[in-house]
Amino acid sequence: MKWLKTIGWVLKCGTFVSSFGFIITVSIQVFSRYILENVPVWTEEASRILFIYSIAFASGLAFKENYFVKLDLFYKKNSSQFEINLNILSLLVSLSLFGIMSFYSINILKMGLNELSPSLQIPMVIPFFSLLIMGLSICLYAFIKLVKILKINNK
Amino acid sequence: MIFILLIIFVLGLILRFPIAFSLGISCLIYLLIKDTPLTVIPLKMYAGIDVFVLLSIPGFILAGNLMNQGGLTDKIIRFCNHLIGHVRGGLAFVNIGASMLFAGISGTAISDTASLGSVLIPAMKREGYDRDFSCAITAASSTVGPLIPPSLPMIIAATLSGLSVGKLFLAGAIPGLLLGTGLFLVAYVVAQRRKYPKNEKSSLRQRIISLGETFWALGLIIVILFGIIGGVFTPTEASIVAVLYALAVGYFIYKKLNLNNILIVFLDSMKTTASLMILVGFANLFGYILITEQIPQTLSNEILSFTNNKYVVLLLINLLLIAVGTFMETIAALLIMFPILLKVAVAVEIAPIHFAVICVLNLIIGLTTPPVGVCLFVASSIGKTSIGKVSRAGLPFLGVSVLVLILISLFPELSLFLPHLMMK
Repeated sequence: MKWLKTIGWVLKCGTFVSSFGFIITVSIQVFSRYILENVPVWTEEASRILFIYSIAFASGLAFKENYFVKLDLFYKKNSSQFEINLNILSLLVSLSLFGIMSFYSINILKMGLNELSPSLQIPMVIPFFSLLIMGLSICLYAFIKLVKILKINNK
Repeated sequence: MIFILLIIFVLGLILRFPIAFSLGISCLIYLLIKDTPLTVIPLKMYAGIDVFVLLSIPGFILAGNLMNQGGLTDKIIRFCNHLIGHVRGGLAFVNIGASMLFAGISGTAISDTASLGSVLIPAMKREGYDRDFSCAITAASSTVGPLIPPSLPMIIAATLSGLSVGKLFLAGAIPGLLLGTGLFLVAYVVAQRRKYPKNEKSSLRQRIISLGETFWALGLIIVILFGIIGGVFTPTEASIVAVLYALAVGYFIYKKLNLNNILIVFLDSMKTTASLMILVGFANLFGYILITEQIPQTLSNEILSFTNNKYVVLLLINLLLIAVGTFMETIAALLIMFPILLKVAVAVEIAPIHFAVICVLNLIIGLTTPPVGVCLFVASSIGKTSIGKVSRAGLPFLGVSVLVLILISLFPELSLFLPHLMMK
């Protein structure tokens, strides 16, 4: 599945670029305050947008590698059918939740076409697009996990 | 109506959905029943994470991970060993001391348990300490982390309430030191009773050399604390300066970092941050629903109609938070409970900063309280022993934590003295 690897690679690159980006932007803010004595007004907004993008790119990868905290109170380490069913249910819930979130974030993207950000003066559709990346990447990995579990279950 | 939201949320937790998704799905069903436009989901999520101060969370996580990758843990442990390892039960004190120092960099309890525990638990077992005690003291000492600045729960509390992050950092310092001292005392008594071993006393030269090796790690704590308290940096800027500092020290001085492991650390830290921020996003949506249903106000009125005695209210809140902290992860619990209970606390004239410290302390006590104490799980899995045995060995430490909680609740000055003294 070459396309899946490519998506994973894009998400990783996006995470690196945006996280390095917000580190550089905040560094510019500190540097310019103490060296140039004049802080550019765009740094705070740019760092927030890059931060949200870094979260958006990393969220699918975090889902894929089970970074989300669960309450393991009733957890038993066995592969009983009950546990498999719970996993399937959890993945279906994740798919529905982020599917709906992605669908409705399109409305926000449309709203963002006509709005400009306060200091960077870029269309708000650009920062809002991060929500779509977040929702779709989690949906993708939830779907892949679901297919894998169903295949194993059928065997 | 609000009961449906809560029931679905709890059901999601029981069914082992991630906490963030349990919040999300309960909100989604509530919005569907209430026929509210679902556009509110992405809108509130975006608003929840579009906060400048939240940038400090990946910053501190990254700085801690980079320093750890640069061999910091070993150096801190060695330094503490040279300093206090010669006392009976020395390694137990090293465990607490290293946790208090490490707390100044990592800011989370679980990472302290994992990174210090993986070195100290095997070392303590080798030297003849009981396995259960070694695990219990590792778990208990790591809970000092979220109190001593920089603290991720304090950043979250500041974001939720609009309080100053710097003031909250300072407010946690004395309670953190008090908790650390209490743990030292218990460890001392246990070590004397069980005749735990002591190491040879290090020479002054050895101590100075070890201090030199740890100097750069300690320097990071100074940069962070004095940068924020002195008004040189905002908390977000301090966290990014900490990242640059950790990169420079790890690459040029400790020479343990290279491009490859820097990228791995970045990716790992950002995945951790993403999982936290999605939780923050859904918690913002959850908070929005609670506010539209006027839950904080109703709860506040209910409690005040029952009693308006500050100490009775504090007792009730403490009991509730300990119960919640036992079952739920600290940041998730803080995100859900803090905004609701703050209203009640303010109504009985508890200072918000004081209340934030009480909340964080309650929830971190939950990290070492069975059945779901996450730090107990981590420590027992490193020490390869049962969580029941570790819980029993940890009871005296738990007692100290509860005692500190009582002191902090009764004497607000323990939390408010430093913020009032150092920040106007």
